[in-house]
Amino acid sequence: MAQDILVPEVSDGVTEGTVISVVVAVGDTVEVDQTLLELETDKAVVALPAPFAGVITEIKVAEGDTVPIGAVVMLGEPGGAAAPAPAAPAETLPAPAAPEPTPRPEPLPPSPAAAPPPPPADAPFDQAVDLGAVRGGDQVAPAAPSIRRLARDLGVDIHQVQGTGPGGRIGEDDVRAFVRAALGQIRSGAASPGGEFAGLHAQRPLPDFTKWGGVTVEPLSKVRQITADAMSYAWSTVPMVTQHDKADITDLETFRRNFNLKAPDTAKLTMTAILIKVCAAALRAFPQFNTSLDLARKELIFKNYIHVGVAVDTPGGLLVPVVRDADTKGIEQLAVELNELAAKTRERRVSPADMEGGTFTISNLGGIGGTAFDPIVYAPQVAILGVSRSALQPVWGGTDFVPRNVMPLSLTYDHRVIDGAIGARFLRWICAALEEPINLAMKG
Amino acid sequence: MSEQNTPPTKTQLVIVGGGPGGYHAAFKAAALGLEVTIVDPEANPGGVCLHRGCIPSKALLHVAKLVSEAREAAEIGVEFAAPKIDVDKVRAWKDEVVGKLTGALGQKVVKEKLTHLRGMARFKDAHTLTVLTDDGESELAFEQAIVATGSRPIMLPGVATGDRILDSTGALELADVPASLLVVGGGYIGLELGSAYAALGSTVSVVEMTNGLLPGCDRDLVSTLKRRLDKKFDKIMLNTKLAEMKETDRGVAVAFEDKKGERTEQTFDKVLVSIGRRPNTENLGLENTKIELDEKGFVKVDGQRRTAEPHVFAIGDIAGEPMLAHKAYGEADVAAEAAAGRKAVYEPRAIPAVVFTDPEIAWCGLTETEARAQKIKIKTAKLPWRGNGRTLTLGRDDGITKLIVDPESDRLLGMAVAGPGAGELIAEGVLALEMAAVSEDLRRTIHPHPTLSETVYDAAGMLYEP
Ligand SMILES: Cc1cc2nc3c(=O)[nH]c(=O)nc-3n(C[C@H](O)[C@H](O)[C@H](O)COP(=O)(O)OP(=O)(O)OC[C@H]3O[C@@H](n4cnc5c(N)ncnc54)[C@H](O)[C@@H]3O)c2cc1C
Repeated sequence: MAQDILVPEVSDGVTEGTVISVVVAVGDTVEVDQTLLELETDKAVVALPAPFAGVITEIKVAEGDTVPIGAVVMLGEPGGAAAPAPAAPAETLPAPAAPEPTPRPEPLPPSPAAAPPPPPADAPFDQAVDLGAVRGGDQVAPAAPSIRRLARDLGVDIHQVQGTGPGGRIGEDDVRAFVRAALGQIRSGAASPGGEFAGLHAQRPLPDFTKWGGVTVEPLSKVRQITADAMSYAWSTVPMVTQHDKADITDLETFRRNFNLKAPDTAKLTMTAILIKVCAAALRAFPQFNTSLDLARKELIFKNYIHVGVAVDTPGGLLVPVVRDADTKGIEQLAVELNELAAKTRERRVSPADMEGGTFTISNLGGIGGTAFDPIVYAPQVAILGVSRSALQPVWGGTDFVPRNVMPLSLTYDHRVIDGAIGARFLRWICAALEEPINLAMKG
Repeated sequence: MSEQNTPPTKTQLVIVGGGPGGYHAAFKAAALGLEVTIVDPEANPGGVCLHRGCIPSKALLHVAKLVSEAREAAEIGVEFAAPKIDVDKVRAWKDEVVGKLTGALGQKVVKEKLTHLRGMARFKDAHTLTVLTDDGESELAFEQAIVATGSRPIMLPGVATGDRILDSTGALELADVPASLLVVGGGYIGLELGSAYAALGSTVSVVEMTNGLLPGCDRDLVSTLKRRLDKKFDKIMLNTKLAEMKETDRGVAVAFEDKKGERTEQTFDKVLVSIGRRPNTENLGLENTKIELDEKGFVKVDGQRRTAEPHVFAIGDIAGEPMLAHKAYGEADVAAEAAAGRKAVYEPRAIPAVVFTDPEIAWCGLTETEARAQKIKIKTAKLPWRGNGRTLTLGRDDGITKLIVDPESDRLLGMAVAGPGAGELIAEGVLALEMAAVSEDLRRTIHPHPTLSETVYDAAGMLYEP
C-alpha cells in the first residue's frame, strides 16, 4: 500500500522550500535515508531522505516547485529487504517520522539578507586570540585541526596540553582533562585566572547613574580590587555559618590595664594580642580550624604551623598582616610584634610577604563599636573571628546582678569543613580561656 | 556581473583581487553574514590560477598525457598513428575550460549578492580605497579589507616579453607550437609548461642556473622525474647561466655560460622565461597605510593574516611562500572568519606541493632535504613503485613513496611521492599530518587493492610491523 512522503520540519521558522533537484525516478528502489530530492530553504539546502525502504510510485513535484513543509512530494510502496512491514493499516500510521534532515556537506551559503546580523566592525579586536601560540609546520601541536580549534575556543594553549594518544597525539579528552585540572587549580587557589577581574562574575550591567544626578568616578585602588576579588570569591564559593558568643573579660581587662601602666609604648598589651594567643591555643586544640579544603583533589590540608592574620584598618583600605608561629610565642612577644606590624601596616610599609600564609584571621572592630557582625572567611582559610565592642553588662552572679565587662565574639567558619557543634565548642573554648586564663594552661 | 552604474561608496568588507584567495574569502565572508565588495580587473573572478595559471596549464598537461600514453602504448601492443594536433582546437578547449570555471564564479558573485567592482584598487588611507574602473575613479570606504592581489612573473633584467620571448602567461595562450623552445628556469612552472610543449611537438631544452631541477625539492623525487624528462626534453642544462639573449627574425639567439665560464650559442624559435614570481605589492598605495613588507617584498602578516593595520588582512601570493592556490584558500578561510569575529588562526601543519609533470611529484610536511639541513632526527621509509601491482598494470615502473617520521614518537613528519597520480596520493599524507598520525595508523588503515595508494600502506609497513 503506497505511503505519502512528506516534506519534514527543516528548522524553526522555515515554512517552505524550493525543489532544486529530484534525485530519484518513479520505479526506483530506494533505501531508508537515501536522498530523494534536494530542497533549498532560506536557511540551507537540505536533502529529503527516504523515510522507508521501498519503491517510489509517484513523484508529485518537479524541479523549481516551491513546496510547503508537510506537503506530500512523493508516494512510495514500502518493501524490500530493509523495510519493516507496516504493522497497522496505512490510515492509522503516524506520518513517517522523517529523520533530522541532513544538510548537504557544503550547504550553499545563505544570501546576506537572510544571514545573521553582521558583527560590529570592531568585534574582531575584542575577540582577541592568543596569536603567540600560533605555529606552522612541524611546530604545530600534534592534534587534529578540530581539536586545535576546540582548544582555541576554550582559550587553552594547546602546547601546554600533554597528549596521551599514540606518539603523544592530543585528543579531545586531553584538552578537556587539561581544562578540568586548570579549573581545579584556580578553585583551590593554586592558580589565579588570568585576564579579566576575577570577581567580575557577579557584575550586572549598571544603570546610567547620571540620569539621576551628577557622579564622580574613581578608579579602584589595588587594595580595593584584591579585597573585592577575595570577598566575592569567598562569598560565592564558601558556605559560611557565623556563631556568636560572649566572654566575660572583667578580670582580664584589669590585668591588662595594670600591665600597661608599667609597659613602654612599644610593648603595650592590646586585647588583640591576647586574642592571638588564645586563638593559637584554640587552633592547636581544634586542628580542623587550621586547614584548607582542596575539593578538586578531595583532600583537607592541615597546616602544622599557626600564623594568625589580623585585619588592620588603614587609610588605603583593609590589610591583613600575619603574625607567624603565634602558638610558640608568649603574649608579651606577640604584643610587641603586633604593635610593630600594625604600625608598619598603617604606614603602608608592610611587604606582601608579611601578609601571606595566614591560617586564621582576627578582625577586631571593638575599638569602633558594634554589638556583633558576621565576618567573611578569608578563603582558603576556613575560619575567622570577629570581635565587637566590650561593654559593662549586668550579669547574674547567683544572688544578684553584677556589672561585668563582656566582649561579644563572632566566629564565621566554612561549613564544608566544620560542623556546627564543633564551631560552637571552639568559640566557647575561646570564651572560657578569656574568662579564666588558667584554662589556657590547663587545656592548651 | 554585478558592476553597478553608481559604484558604492562604502562597504563592510572589501576584497582586493579576485584570485583564489580573493574569491574564496569573499564567498566565505558573505556566508558568515558580512556585506562584501570585491575589486578585480577581470570580467569574472579567477585570478592567475584560473585565467593564466593552474587551470590552463593543467588542461595543456592533460593533452600531453594523452599524447605520451598513446605513444607508449606501442610497448604493450597497442599502436596509434602519430597524433595530429589541431592547435586552434586545443586552445579553444583550454579556453572553454577556463571560461566555464570563471563563468561559474561570476554567477556565484551575482547569486550571493556580492558587489563586484571591475577595476584596480589602491589605498588612499587605511580606511579608503581609490577604485579605478572604466567609468573613472571613485572612492570606497571600508570597515575591513582582505588584500589578495597575487603575484606576477619575474622577467630577466632588460628583457621584454613579445612574440618570441614569453612568460608563463604568454606560453599558456598557446599562439602556436614552436619547433624549438628554451625554458629558462627549472622550477615547476617551467617544467610543467615545457612538458606540455614537448608533447605538442616542440623540441624543448631547459637551462637552470643551480645544480638541479626544482631547487629545494627532495632529490629522490627530482631524480625520478629527471630520468623521464631526460627522454622527453632535448637537453637539460644544469649549472648553466643564460649569458645573453637577442630576438632576431629567425628566432631568439641565446648564449649560455657553464660553470667553467665556457660559452655556447644556440637559436630557439621561442623562449619561455620562468624564473619565479613576485608579489603584486606595488601601486597599491600601501605607503598610505601602516602595512609593512618583508625583505622579499611579501606583506607582513600575523597568525590571523592581519597586516600592521589590524583591520586589513593579506592572503595568497602577496602574503608569502608557498605561492600556491590552496594555500591562498586556507588563508582566505581564516581571514574571512577572523573578519567575521571568529577566533580562527592560520596554522597548517602541512601545505602540499604538487608538480604536474609526468611523473607527477608531490610532497607535504618536512622534506628529507630540510631535515638533513636542519639536523632534525628522522627515520624514513622509501618504497619504490616497481613492486606495486597497479603501477605495472599502468605500464609503468617509475615512482617512489617516501614517509618521514620522528624516530621517537613514530609520528609522521612528511611524505613525498613521485609517480603518476602523486598529486592525488599526497592528500592522504596531508590528512595524516594534520591528524598527527603515526606510522601504525597508516599501516592499520586498509587501503584499496590494487591501487597506487597501497604504496603508502607498504611504506608504513617498513616503519611499523603489527
Ligand atoms: C603557470 C602557473 C601554474 C600554476 N599552477 C598551480 C598549481 O597547479 N597549483 C597551485 O596551487 N598553484 C599554481 N599556480 C600558482 C597560483 O596560480 C597562485 O598561487 C594563485 O593564483 C594565487 O592566488 P592569489 O589569490 O594570491 O592571487 P592571484 O591568483 O594572483 O590573483 C590576484 C588577482 O588580483 C588582481 N589584482 C592585482 N592587483 C589588483 C589591484 N590593485 N586591485 C584589484 N585587483 C588587483 C589580479 O588581476 C588578479 O586577478 C600556478 C601559477 C602559474 C603562473
